[in-house]
Amino acid sequence: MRTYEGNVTMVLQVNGEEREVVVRPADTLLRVIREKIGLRGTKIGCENGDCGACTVHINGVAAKSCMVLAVEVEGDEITTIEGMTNEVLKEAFIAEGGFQCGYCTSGFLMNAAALLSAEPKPDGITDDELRVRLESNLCRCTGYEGIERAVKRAARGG
Amino acid sequence: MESRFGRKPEVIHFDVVYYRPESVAEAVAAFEEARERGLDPLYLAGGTEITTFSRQGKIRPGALIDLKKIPECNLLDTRGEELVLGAALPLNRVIEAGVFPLLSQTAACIADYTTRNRLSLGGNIAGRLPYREAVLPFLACDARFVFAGPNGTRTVDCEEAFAEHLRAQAGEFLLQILVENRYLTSPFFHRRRERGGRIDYPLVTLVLLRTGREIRCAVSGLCSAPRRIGEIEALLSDRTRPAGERAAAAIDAFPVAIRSDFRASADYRRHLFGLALDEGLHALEEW
Amino acid sequence: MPPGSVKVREQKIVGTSVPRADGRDKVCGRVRYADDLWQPGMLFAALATSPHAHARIISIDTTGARTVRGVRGVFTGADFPGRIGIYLGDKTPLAVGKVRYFGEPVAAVVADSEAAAVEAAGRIAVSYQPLPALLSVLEAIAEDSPLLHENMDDYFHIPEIHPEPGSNIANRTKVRKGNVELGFREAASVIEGEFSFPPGDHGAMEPRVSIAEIGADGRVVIRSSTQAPFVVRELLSGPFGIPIGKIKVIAPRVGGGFGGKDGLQLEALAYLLSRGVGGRPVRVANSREQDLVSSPGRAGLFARVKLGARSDGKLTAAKMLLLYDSGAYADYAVHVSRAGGFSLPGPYFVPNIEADSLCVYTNRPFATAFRGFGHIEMTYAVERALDHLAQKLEMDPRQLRIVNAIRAGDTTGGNAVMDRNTGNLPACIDTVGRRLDWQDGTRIVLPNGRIRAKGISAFWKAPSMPTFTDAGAIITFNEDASVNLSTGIVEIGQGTHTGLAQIVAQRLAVDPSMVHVVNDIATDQAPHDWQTAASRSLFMAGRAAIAAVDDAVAQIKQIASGPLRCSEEDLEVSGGRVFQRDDPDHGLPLSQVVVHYVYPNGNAIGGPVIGRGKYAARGLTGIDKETGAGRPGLEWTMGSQGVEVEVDPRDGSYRILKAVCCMDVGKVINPALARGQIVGGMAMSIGYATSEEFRFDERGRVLNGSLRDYKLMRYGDHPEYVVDFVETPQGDGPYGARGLGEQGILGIPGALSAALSLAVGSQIDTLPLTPEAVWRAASGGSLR
Repeated sequence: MRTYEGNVTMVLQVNGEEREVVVRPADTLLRVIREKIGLRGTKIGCENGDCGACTVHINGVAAKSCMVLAVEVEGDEITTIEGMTNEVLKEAFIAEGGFQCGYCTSGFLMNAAALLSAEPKPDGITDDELRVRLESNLCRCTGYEGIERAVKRAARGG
Repeated sequence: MESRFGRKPEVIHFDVVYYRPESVAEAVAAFEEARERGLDPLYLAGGTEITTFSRQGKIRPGALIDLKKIPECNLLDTRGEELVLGAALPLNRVIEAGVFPLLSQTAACIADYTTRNRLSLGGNIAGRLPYREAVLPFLACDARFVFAGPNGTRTVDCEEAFAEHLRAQAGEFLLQILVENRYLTSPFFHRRRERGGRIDYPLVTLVLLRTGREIRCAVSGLCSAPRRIGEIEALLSDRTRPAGERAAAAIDAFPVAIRSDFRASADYRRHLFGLALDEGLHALEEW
Repeated sequence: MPPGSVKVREQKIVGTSVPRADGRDKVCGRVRYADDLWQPGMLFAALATSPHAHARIISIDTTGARTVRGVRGVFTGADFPGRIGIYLGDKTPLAVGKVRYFGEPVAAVVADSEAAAVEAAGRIAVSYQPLPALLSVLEAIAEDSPLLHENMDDYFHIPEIHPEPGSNIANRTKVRKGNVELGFREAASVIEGEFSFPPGDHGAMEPRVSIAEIGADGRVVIRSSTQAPFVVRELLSGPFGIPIGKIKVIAPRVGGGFGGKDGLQLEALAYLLSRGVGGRPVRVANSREQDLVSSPGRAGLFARVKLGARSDGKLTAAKMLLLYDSGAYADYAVHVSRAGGFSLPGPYFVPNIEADSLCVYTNRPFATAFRGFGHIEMTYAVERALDHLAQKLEMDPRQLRIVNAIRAGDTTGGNAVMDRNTGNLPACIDTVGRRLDWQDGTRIVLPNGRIRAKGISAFWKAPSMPTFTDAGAIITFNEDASVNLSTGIVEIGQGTHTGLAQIVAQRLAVDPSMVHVVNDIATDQAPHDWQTAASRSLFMAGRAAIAAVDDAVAQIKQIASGPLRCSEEDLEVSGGRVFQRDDPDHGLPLSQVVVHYVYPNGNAIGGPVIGRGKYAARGLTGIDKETGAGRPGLEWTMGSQGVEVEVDPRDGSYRILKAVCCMDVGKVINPALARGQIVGGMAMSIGYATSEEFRFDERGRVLNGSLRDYKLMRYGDHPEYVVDFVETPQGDGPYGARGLGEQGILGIPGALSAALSLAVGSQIDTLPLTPEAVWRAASGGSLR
């Protein structure tokens, strides 16, 4: 059994790199990614699981990093926006106006990337499926129109 | 109330001791140790509620015992006449397994997809929110709850295990839930209504389950805690009366105070409950 | 002929959807927002906030907080007694004497870590004596109402606003035109109605954050999530006695503003806290809950409207009272109420008007600028009243609006004559009607019992800004002749930097990729600019950028005329070259001219070309205190919106199937970005029309101060958006363009109320239009 107390040194696997960090067990993964590892692309929007701006992948699965303690994911593969490699998706967001201010964008991209990588969809994604996935995140700028177009475009292969 | 009307801080500012046991025995020992140190420990599975409540100052656990690495907590299997569901299973694993359609449908409305990748079955049921919809299917099908604690495991009937909240004893945690196979395919109806958008707590979640001639009913959102409404089940099951009439009578006979808050008035909740009951009874007729 | 030159010159850059300049960084998570700019040695602040909506502060005990390890300072209102405020100095950064809203900051802790600061803030013991809370504007303006600000007399205010000490009225703007009594006598039909909605929030995805530090020489540096770096500087300089040149405000890109990051936000507190700990860098960052409740949001509204019209629908008179619920402090809301007043009666010609627009204090979270700036409230009241009138006249609501649409030569509420730049509102209304298939019927009952219904509205808005609002632009050149454009415009997501790059590229006839816009604005480097607000950035900075290009081109010609041995008048700059107009082969690449020109023998002339451009709003005046007469609006952008809904009358649930907008924007600079702004505005208004509102308990405490409970629209609830443009050029706009960033938010709530009212057969005059509200209207009203 592992026990962590006080300031503890641990290794996290982030974007394929081993990162040694000193954390408090109460530190959320979000705070550790941003403040200890210095990857600032993952955003703080609510720290309450409501907005999705802090979405990362844990072993390829989307998760809101404000609701995960860093100590919980020791040994797991963490991917942040800086390590996300779906270029087709990124370009689709640019081409289709999937963002304005850009603050929610990392989270939306990580969410959509998990969807697209988990299930290759030659026929595209159904509207229902898209809704179930993307309603996890909030965007205040776009009215979701550009995001919808972008993810559908990426699902078709760009 | 302090947290609701007080400060909402930015970080989890207090310290916790984190334990990651790999067996039931280790978990129970960790809890005991933390308790003896006066740490006010909590068991943790998905962590979605514990992290956010801790930040908001609604809870202040001194120790967290993470159940995710305990194999029994992650079981999803049929054993003989029963389905065994580990309490640490993330909701999405339960939903996508699809072995218990009523549970899949009910759980798929809790929180949002990304959150459900972490939010656990047991965490939802053991949580402090008034909704805890994941328990509704289990209430309807008389599931049995397995608790693990200092005195080993005990298997308890649903009625005893969950009355308004999970009735775990000191040092115990919910290990598994057992559902008789025959209920997995029972005709059911599930309807959830929100104030506006889908990602919100329910004004009403209604679960109806038909077994033989009997219709069982469980609700969330409508009152202060999720519960089986056994008091109206005889009314609902009386197929000598048309569905609409049964629904109306059931609302009149509804035994608990209906919730009124900033999301909706009691009137509106009652109205939605009536519509859902009516629809559900018709749907079960035609199943 | 030099390759490319003529081609580039003919190339349309303005009017095309050039991709956003910041796209790649944003999709890679590489943009640095204010909270990504932590400074070495930075300390963290945490706030203790009020649990009461109204209470006297009896005592504050900070001893517990000071014992927490890592705490470097604990501060209360007594430490910073000076009042600040953009137009009316009514607020201290930390409460002094009493608290006036739930969530008001009362004390602050500065510590080595955020955890220590939060822990210490929790140990500050404040003793309160609760006072009765004023929770409605009607209560607040009653004669015998208790006063929220007893000392309003002492408050500084600008002359353009008119507080009424001895009351809870922070501003009264009057509009008096013609003779309303006569006007109502001419009317064949008169309607009266009351319209209202509760306060809400911007909900920008980036919570506000400010990091301040003070150098050994007293130089103040503030990094902040702000739309208004120059305003921040100005508002810090006066009250705190800092020479303005010694304040540097850095505005990186902002994660959504919507008005919530205008004016002064957390910057003053960050500065004071840094001062309190010897100038070390201090970060003040809102949690989401604080951002919603402690920092300001959107005003609420109560309006009373009386309209009279002839039987052909022509309006004869309007009498209106607009009460803006400003909450505990006035901030921008005094001006919001003024702007709502001077834009009355909306984009319609009404000969006789008597209107009062008031900014009223209550014990609710306070209000500031919000996308639409007073026009959300004004438009909702006017559009709802017009629908009541259409019903009474038995007239098509679309036709009623077309009949009354303001046209060139008509006068505004303030008696200013609309000039030939006036947009074509009837064309907009007509387009929206066609997009909604208005002629096929506006209320259809489907076989399943659901009802499809349509609603339409119109709106206008001009920038609400000082008469002397300015913008500057500087262009410099790199060795490869690419251009650096520096303005004071903050990129808040609206895409103005891309639009400005297009304008410069068009004017210089180069590819937009050759124009680099300076992203992070620093007040000691960027030319002065009012602020990134009021939908005036592209208009005004665009004009300045054109002037800067022209200035640079003149310099380039002057330098090149030597080596090319011809007069400047014979030269043309295009496609990255300067050349003789009648012999394009005779020329030089700009790269040989813009930094310096070097003759073959080594002699040099020229030096770096620096293009300077400036613009100040033209011909604006204040408004008369008694009549509202004046010309406060630079350019009126007007348009029409409509919705089609499908309602289930059994439970009031509905879906917005289609949301339509047609706006006369003068000239579309970048179609994709323009559409994005309008769709974003529509989405935001769907949010506050359908769902968003602060809910209070009987003591004025906010019950839904988190994004779990304060519901923003999510993916999947968005309708099909239809956006069309009309282009009636604005003579003085860059390439004929008008502002368009805010207007998309204005008309949807009225149109949606109209559609739902029509569906359920009962007028619904209050927002938000929750299913429960629609169900109540459906069960209460008599269904047609």
